[in-house]
Order: sequence, then C-alpha cells, then structure tokens
Amino acid sequence: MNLLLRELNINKKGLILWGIIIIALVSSVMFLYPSMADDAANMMDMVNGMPEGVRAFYNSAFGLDRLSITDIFGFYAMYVGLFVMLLGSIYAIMLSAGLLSKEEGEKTIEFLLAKPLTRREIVTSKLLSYLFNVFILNLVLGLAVFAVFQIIKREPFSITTFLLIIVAPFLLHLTFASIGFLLSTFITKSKTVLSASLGIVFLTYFCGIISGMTESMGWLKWLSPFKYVEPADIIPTGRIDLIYLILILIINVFCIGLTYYFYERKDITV
Amino acid sequence: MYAIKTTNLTKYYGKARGIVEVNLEVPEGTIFGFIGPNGAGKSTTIRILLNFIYPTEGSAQIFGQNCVQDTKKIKQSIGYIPAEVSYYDDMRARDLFQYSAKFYNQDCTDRMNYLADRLDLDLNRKIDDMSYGNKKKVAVVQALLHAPKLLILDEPTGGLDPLIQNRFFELLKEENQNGTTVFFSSHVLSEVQKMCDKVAIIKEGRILKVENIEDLRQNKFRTIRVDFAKDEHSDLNLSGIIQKEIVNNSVKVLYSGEIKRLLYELSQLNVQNVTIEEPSLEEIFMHYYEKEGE
Repeated sequence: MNLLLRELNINKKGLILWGIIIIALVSSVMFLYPSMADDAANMMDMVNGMPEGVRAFYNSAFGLDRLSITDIFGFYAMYVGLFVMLLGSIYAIMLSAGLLSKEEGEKTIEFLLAKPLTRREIVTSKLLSYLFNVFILNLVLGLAVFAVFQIIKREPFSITTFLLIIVAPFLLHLTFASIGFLLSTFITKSKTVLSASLGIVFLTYFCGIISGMTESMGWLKWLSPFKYVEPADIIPTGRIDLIYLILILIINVFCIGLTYYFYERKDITV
Repeated sequence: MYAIKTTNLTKYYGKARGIVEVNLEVPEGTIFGFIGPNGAGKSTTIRILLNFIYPTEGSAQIFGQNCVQDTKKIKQSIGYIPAEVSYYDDMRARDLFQYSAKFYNQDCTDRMNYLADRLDLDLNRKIDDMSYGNKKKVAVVQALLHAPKLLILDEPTGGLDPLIQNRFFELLKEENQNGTTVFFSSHVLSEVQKMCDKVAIIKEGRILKVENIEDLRQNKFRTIRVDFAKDEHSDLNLSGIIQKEIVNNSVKVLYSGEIKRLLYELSQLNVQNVTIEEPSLEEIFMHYYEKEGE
C-alpha cells in the first residue's frame, strides 16, 4: 500500500499534464466540426481527386471510405481518434515501462528490495498504479469528450456508439501499458526504455496502416493493436469484434503474467 | 541459533564466478567482519542474503529462515547499507525515512531525530543535493531506523570523514550492546580490527579462513626487523618464518614460531639491531592472500 501510494503520488503530475494536452487537443479540433461538416462535400471531392496511392493511405489511416464526416462520430474518428489513440498509447507505454525499470536504472531498487516486501507485491503495486492512471486518463477524457459532443452535436447521437469509442482507446492504452510493463523487466536503462516504448507504438501503428493499404499485407493487422479497436470498424457496426476483444485480453494477461514470472526470478544487480 | 548461516552457497553469473561453496556461521550478537579484496565475492554474498540475486547452489538462512522463501519476514528484522548509495531524487532525508518507516508499520520519528542528531545530518535537505558523505549518513540512518536485529553493511564507511566514522562505529557498538548482530563487509582492515569480534576472509569467491580477532592477534605473529653488521651478509633461517624481505643488510620477517628460539638464533648472529612488533592485520591478511595465490 505504501508503495502504491508513492507511485500514484509521483505519477500524478504526468497524468495531469497528459490529460490536459489530450483533452485540449481533442476539444479544440472537435469544435471545428460544425463548420467543417457544412463543407463536407468539398472535402470529399478533394479526397476523391487524390492519386490512388495517396487515397489508399488516407483510407487506411483515417477510414475515409467507411466514414462520413458529416456524422459526429465519423468526424471524431477521422480527426481526433488518431490523436487519442496515439498520444494515449505513448503516455501509457512510457508510464508503465518506467515503473519497474526506473527503480533499477536509478539504483533505488536496493532500498526497496531491502524492505519487508515481496517482489510480487512490488509488481502488484506498480501494476495497480498504471491501471489506475490509464483508467483515470480515459475516464476524464471520456467525460470531457461527452461534454464537447453535447455542445457541438447537430442531432442526438447513440450513447452505445459513444461508449464504444471511449472504451476502445482505453483498451488500446491498457494493451500498450501491459506491453511496456513486460518490456521493463528486460530493459532497465531509461533511455533505452524510452526509445523502445516509442518504437513499439509507432511500429505497430504503421503495421496497421500498411495492412489496410494493400491486400497482400493484410496479415500485418494482427500485429497492430490499433487495428483491433479501429473507429472505422466500430462506428458503422456499433461493436468491437469479439476476436479482437479476446486478442486484447490475451495480450494483457500474457504480458502481465510474464512480468510477474520474470520479475520474481530475475537477479537484480545494480 | 545463528544470525546468518550459509551452506555451500554458490553463485555463478553465467560462467563467471561469483562465490563458491561459501560456508559462514555468524553467531547472534556478534560484530562479524567480512574481509576481502575487490571482486572477491563480498557483495555477491550479501546480495544473496538479501535475495537480490538467487543462489546457483546451496542455501542461506537468516535467523533460521530461508533467504529465498522467507525473505519478506527476514527483512522485517534487518537493516542494510549498500556500498553505493542512491535514493529517490524528489525526496528530502525526512521523506525517505518516513517512507521507509511505513514499510515496517512503525513510527520512528524520535529515533529518526536521535540518529540524525548523532550523525549531524540535516533532515530537510534534498538527498539529491547532498554530498557523498551525507548521502552515506542517510543510508546509515535509514538502516538503523527500525531498530533491526541484524545489520548488513556493505563497505559502509566509504565517504565518511574520520569524526563521523567514529560516531558511526559508536552507534554500531551501541546497537550491538542492545543485541543487534552486525555483519560488516570491508576491504579496509583497520576498520575491522577496531570493530569486529570475528572475521571471515574471502578471496576469489572462497572463504579462506574464519577467525576470532583476538586469536588472530594472539596468533603470536610478530614482525621482526634485524639489522646486521655492515660487512656481514647474513641471513636468518628458521622454521616459523612466514615471509621474508631483505633490504641491504636488514631483514624483515613475519614470524609465528617460538620467541625463545628466535632469540637464541639471533644471539648466534652478528646482529646490530632488532625490533620486534605486533604486525597489523593488514600484514597478516596479505600473508593469507599471498599464500593462496601461490
């Protein structure tokens, strides 16, 4: 408990900062919706006039072929969803990857391990702290987006779909956080942790985009958690595919389980 | 019951040797020195005791409890000073001590103030801004704060000035008189000489010898320097001479035999001057190191 409280306390600043940045970005773009939705026809003409390769990229990255920006969800998915998914994932993976590795990198682990505390308890405290932070970030973000939607909506919107587009990035952030948590049992240098975390997020993101651009690379989507919760899939169908939910569950359980397994067994020399 | 007991404790880092078949018995209530040069395996042994690393073979017990399975219970009753001190960069000394005390569910405010006062430590300074010596003081207070039954100290005196070092030793002795066992690793022998009841000597991962400090000193080791007359190139040959150094006309030996026979032998030679003195532990240990090295 002592350790958990300490973790929550030191990660408070990061949470507030990232929360403010993401919410500010999301709401400032969303407030453009009323005026841009009016000009939607021009937008679509512009996209249709693009060379085919560029259009394929746009379609894959933003789901332009499956969404309509006159619809509030379509607009959210195209202009905001990406920020929320990318920035939130970067926040989540950098947070979680630092939790265990920082103690080793800064050699404070010798202090912590000499206290009456099992390694399992250390992992559990750190796990709870990132679950809490990611949850709070998404909760506050969800509330903020809901408020913005209420202000800018042109007609009533589906609450179910709304909840889905809020829960989807939450699941994505959790997944990256769990991957980062596992990563940090192997990598303990803070610089390496940082670049590895960012690398994973961007690499999987581009795998997702490439998978949507050409048929032959379609299998790459399985490597990209972004594809599991793609707004362009969720909004038209009103649900997240079960196979993706199962995959997300498996990745999270697998990463967390392995983190416990390795952390309890590893030799810690600093 | 022993405060620390290890049985054939062995650790390899991959193929690199850490320690090999270390058998140690540290009786409760003693101040026990653990002496060896750098890389001999002192820290490795301590890290196994604290379950930072896992033994390759053998086992270690603290107060009869297994260092791997019962590590949480064990840590309730031990304090540890690491060789290199690093703490959280956002904390003042006071914050660290309060954080530490909470892990033991104790209120240690009085003791914190007492210890900080004894070591002349400013509780309100950020640890990150402190000098190396002051950080070490933080480590000392942090280790003693919860009144542990066993103190494990890994080269604890580095960076402390002689005045504070003395106060630190006084503190250790006080703790020891209150029943705390102290396990003390060092390569500075004079420290050990001052403090310890017993020492174990470790070299290249193996325990060479475990001795009472008193026995070591009463081992009748003597350093003897003999100056011969100028024109006489004489030498001293006697069983019991362990180490011999010849410079010009003088001979310096480490001797552990009978003094009477030595004196008789000397009387037969053309001796100009003789000094007989008690060797420092340093010299005795150098002898152990070298003997093993051959």
